[in-house]
Amino acid sequence: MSKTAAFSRWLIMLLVFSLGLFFCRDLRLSEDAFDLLPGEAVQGDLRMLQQMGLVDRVFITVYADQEHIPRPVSKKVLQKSTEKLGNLLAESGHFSYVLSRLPEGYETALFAGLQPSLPLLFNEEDLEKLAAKISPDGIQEGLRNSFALLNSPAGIAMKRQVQVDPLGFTALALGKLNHMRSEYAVQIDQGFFMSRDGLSCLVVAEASGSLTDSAQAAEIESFLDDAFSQALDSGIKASVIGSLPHTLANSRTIKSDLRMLLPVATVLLILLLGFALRDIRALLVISVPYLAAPLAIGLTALAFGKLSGLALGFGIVLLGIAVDFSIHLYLALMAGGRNQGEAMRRVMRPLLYAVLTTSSVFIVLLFSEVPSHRQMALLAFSGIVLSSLCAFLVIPAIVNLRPRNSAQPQTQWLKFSTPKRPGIILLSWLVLLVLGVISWPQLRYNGDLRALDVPDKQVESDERHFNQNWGGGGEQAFVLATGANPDNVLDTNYRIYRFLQEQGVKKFQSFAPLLPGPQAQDRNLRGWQQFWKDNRVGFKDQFISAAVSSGFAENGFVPFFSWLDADPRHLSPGVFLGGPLQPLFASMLKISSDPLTGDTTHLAMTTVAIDDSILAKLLEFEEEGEGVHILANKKWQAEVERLLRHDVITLSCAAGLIITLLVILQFRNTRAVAAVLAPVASALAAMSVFCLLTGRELNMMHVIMGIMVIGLSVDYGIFIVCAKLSGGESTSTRAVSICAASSLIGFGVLAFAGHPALHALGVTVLVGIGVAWPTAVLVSPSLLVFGQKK
Amino acid sequence: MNFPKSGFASEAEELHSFLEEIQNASAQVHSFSSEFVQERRLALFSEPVIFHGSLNVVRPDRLRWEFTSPIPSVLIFNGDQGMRCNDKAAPVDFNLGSDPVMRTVAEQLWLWLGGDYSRLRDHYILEKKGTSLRITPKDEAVGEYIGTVTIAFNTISKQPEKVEIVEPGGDSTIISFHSYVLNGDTPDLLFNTCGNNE
Repeated sequence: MSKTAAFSRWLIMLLVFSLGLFFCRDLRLSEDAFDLLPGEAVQGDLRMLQQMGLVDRVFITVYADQEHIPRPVSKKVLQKSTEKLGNLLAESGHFSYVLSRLPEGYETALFAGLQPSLPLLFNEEDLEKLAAKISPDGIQEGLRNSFALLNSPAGIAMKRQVQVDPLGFTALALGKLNHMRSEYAVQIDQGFFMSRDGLSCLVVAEASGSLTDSAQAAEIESFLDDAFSQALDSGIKASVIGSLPHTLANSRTIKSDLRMLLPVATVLLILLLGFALRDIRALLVISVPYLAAPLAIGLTALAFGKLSGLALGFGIVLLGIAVDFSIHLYLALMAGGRNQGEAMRRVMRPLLYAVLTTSSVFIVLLFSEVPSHRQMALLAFSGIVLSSLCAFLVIPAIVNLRPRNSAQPQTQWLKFSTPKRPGIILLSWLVLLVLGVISWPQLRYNGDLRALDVPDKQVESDERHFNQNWGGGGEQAFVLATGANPDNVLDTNYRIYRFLQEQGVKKFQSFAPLLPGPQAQDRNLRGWQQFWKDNRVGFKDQFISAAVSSGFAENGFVPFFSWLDADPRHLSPGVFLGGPLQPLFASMLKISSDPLTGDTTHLAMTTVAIDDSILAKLLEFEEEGEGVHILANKKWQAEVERLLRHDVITLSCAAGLIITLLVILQFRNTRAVAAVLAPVASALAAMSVFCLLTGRELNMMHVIMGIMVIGLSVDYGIFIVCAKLSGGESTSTRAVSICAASSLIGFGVLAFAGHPALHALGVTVLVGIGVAWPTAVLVSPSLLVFGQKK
Repeated sequence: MNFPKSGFASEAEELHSFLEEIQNASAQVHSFSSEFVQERRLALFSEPVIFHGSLNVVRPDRLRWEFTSPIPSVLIFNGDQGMRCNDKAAPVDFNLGSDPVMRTVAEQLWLWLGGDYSRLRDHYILEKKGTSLRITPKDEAVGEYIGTVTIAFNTISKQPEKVEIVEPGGDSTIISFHSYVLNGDTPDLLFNTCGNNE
C-alpha cells in the first residue's frame, strides 16, 4: 500500500471521527428510569405517578434516638426540630412540596370553613342520620349534650359552635375527615404527624428535580445532610426513604465496582494482548472500533431524540464485538505475509458473514418493547457496521506501518484445529446440550426490576425502621382521576370514592367526601332542600320549645336558623388548597400547566391498601370508568413481566431463526451449519444450566447480554468453520481465542461486581463465552470431521 | 410627671411581691382537692345555671374536674392524655396534641390552678386587685372568647378561692372553691378512671 493511500485512509478515519464528535456535541444523556420499562401503557401510568410527585417524594422520619442518647428527648424538642427541618426544606428551592405539619389551629379553621358548605357534603346516608337528630328524642338529646358542654370547662371555647349547631350536625363531617388520613399509622399532635409512641415525626417532601437522576439525587442528599445538622437538636436523628436512597445506593455501588474492576480488566487485557500479539500496533487495532463510536452515538441520539445513559453504556459494551473483527482482520493480514490481497480475500468472507449475523441480532432487538433496548440495539448495530467499515479501511494501513516480521511466533497451545478424538468431544458436547434442554423449562423470568436493585444494608434498615414506625409496607394502589376540566376530575374522584364504599373497602385515603364533584354537590343540595321541605314545618317551634324547657333562652339559637335558611357555599378546590388542610390536599390534587402548550392538567388521587381481590375489582372498574387510572406495583409487575417475557421469547426466537437462516444461506452445508451454530447452542445451554444451579431466575441483564453472547458465539463458529473449510485454521483459532479471552477478561470481571445488574452481566458473559470458546475450537472442527474418512 | 411613673413602679413591685408570695405558697402544695360551685351566666341560657362538683389536682400535670350535679360528668387530664365521661356515654380518651378544644381547656384550667403564676407575663397582662389577680390575654385568638380572668386567693392558704371569667359580650362564669385539702392523699385511680360510670 502506498503512503498516499494509507494517508487517505487515515484522513477518512479522522473525518468519520470528527463527524461523530460534531453529532455528539449537544448530546445529553437522559437518566430516565422509564426507558427501562416496556410498553406504552406501563410508561404512561408511571408518568402519571411522576406527575403526582410520587416518584420524586422523600419520606423523612425525624426521631428521638433513644438507643444512643441516655436522656429522654422531649416531644417539644422533637417537634421543634421537625418544624425547623420542614422550614429549611420549604425555603431551599430543592422541593416543590413539603409537609411537616398542619398549620396551628387548623381544626377550628377547617370547621369554620366547612360550616357554610355542610349541606353539600351530606349524602343520602347522612340525611338519614340528620332525620334521627331532628326527631323529638334527637332534639332532646342534642340539647342536653349542648347544655352539658356549655357548662363544662370546654363551654367557653365551644359556645359559638353550639349556637350554630346545637344538634351536632357538624359531627357528621368528622367521619368524612377520617378519609383524609393516610395509610400510615400517624396521630396528629399540634399539627405534627407523629408515631403512636410519640418518638417520631414524619416529614414528606417532593423534590423539584428527578430523584432517579443520580446527580440530582446526590445534590439533594448533600442538602439534606446539611439541613439535618442545622435543624436537628442533640438526640434527634433523621432517616430517609424513597427513590433517593435507592438511586444513590445503585449509583455508588456501580461506581465502586467499576473503580475496582476496570483497572484489573485493563491490566489483564494489556497483558493478554501483549503476550498474544507482541506488537505495539495491536493497541491501534483494538482502538479502531471506538473511533467509529462517536458517529454511532450521534446517529442513535439523532434517531431517538435522546439517549439514555444505560443504553449508551451497554451499546458501547455491545460495540466491543467489533473489536473481534479488527483482531481477525489484523491477524489474517499479518499472517498473509507479502500477499496481502490474498489474505484480505480469505478473511473477507467470514468477516462479512460475521458482521451480517451479528447485525441481524441487533436488528431484532430494535423491535423490543423496552425503549433503552431499542436505543442500545441501534447504537450497537450502527457501531458494528461503521467500525467494520473502519476496520477494513484502516487495519491494512496499520499492518503496513512497519515491515512485517515474517517470523511471527505461533502459539502452539492454541492449535486444536484438527481434533484427534472428535467422538469424545462431541459426546461431551451432547451431554451439555441435553442438560441445557432439561434445565431451560425450569427457569423462570423475573421481570421485577427491583431484582436488579443493589441490596444496600442502610437502605434496608431505614425502610424497616420506617415500617416499624409508621406501619404501611403493604401493597398499595393509587387510583387517579383525570378529566377534561376540574369539574370532570372531581366528579370522577367522587365516583371512585363511592365505588370503594360500595365494595366495602376500609383502608383508603380520599378527599372526595370533603370535596365532592359538582354533580355530587348538586345531588346533595337537592337532597338537603327536599329534606327540609319535608321536615321544616313545625321543626322550629318544636326545637325552640324543647330548648326553652332545657334552660336555654328563646332567642339563643338564632344563628342556627340563619344557617339553615342560608344558601350553602359552593365547594371548590381553591377552598381547600388555600385552607388549613392545604398540605394534605396539595399531595392528593395536582394542578399543573404545560409551559409549552399552556394546557392545564388536573389529577386527583385516592390511595388504597389492596389485596388481589380488591385489585382485580379496581382493574375492572378502570376498564369501565372513563378517566380512572389504577397505578399499582402488582399491576405493572405483571404487565412488565408479561411484556418482557414476550420480548425474550419472540426476540430470541427471531434472532435464532435469522441466524440459522443466514448461516444456512451462507454455508449450504449441514455439517458446516451445525459447526457454526455449535458455539451458540453451547453458550445457551451453559447459561441455562448455570441459571438453574444459581437460583433458577433469568433477569433483564441475562437477556441483553445473552444476545451479545449469541452474536459473539456465532462469529466464533463462522471464523473457525470458514478457516477450516479454506485451510487457514491456525490463524482463526488464534484470533478466536484472543477475542474470547479478551471478552472474558473485559466483561467477565464484572461477575465479581457487587451490583446485581453488573454481576448478572459479567456472569452471563463468563459462562456463555467461557463455553462458546472451547466449543468453537473443539466441537466445531469435530463436527466437520466426525465420521469422515481421512 | 414623675408621680405616675413612680406609681407604675410601685404597682409593678406590688404585683411582683404578690406573685412571689402566692408562688412560694404554691411551691409548698404538691396536691390539693376541693369542692366547688360553678355559676354560669350566658345570654344563651334563660337564667344562671349552677353546677356543683369536686376538683383534684396533682401538680404539675394531673387534674380531675368532676361535676356531681345537676348533670354528672368527669374530665381528667393526665400529662398529654385525657379522658371525659358523662352519665350515659362511654368514656372518651383524648390527646391534647390532637384535640384543640381540650388543649384550650387544659391551658385555661392550668392557668387558674397551676400555681406557676410568674410565667404568665409573656401571654397575659397581669394586674393585682386586692387579694385577686386579674389576667387579660394578649393573644387575639384567646381574647375572642376570654375577656378577663380574675382569680381571688385565699388569704391564708394562698390557693385559688374564686375564679371569675368574663367573656367578650358579657357572658360570665364564677367558680367558687371551698373545703380545700392541701397535700392530702390523691390516689392515682382518680386520674385514670372516671369512677362509678364505668
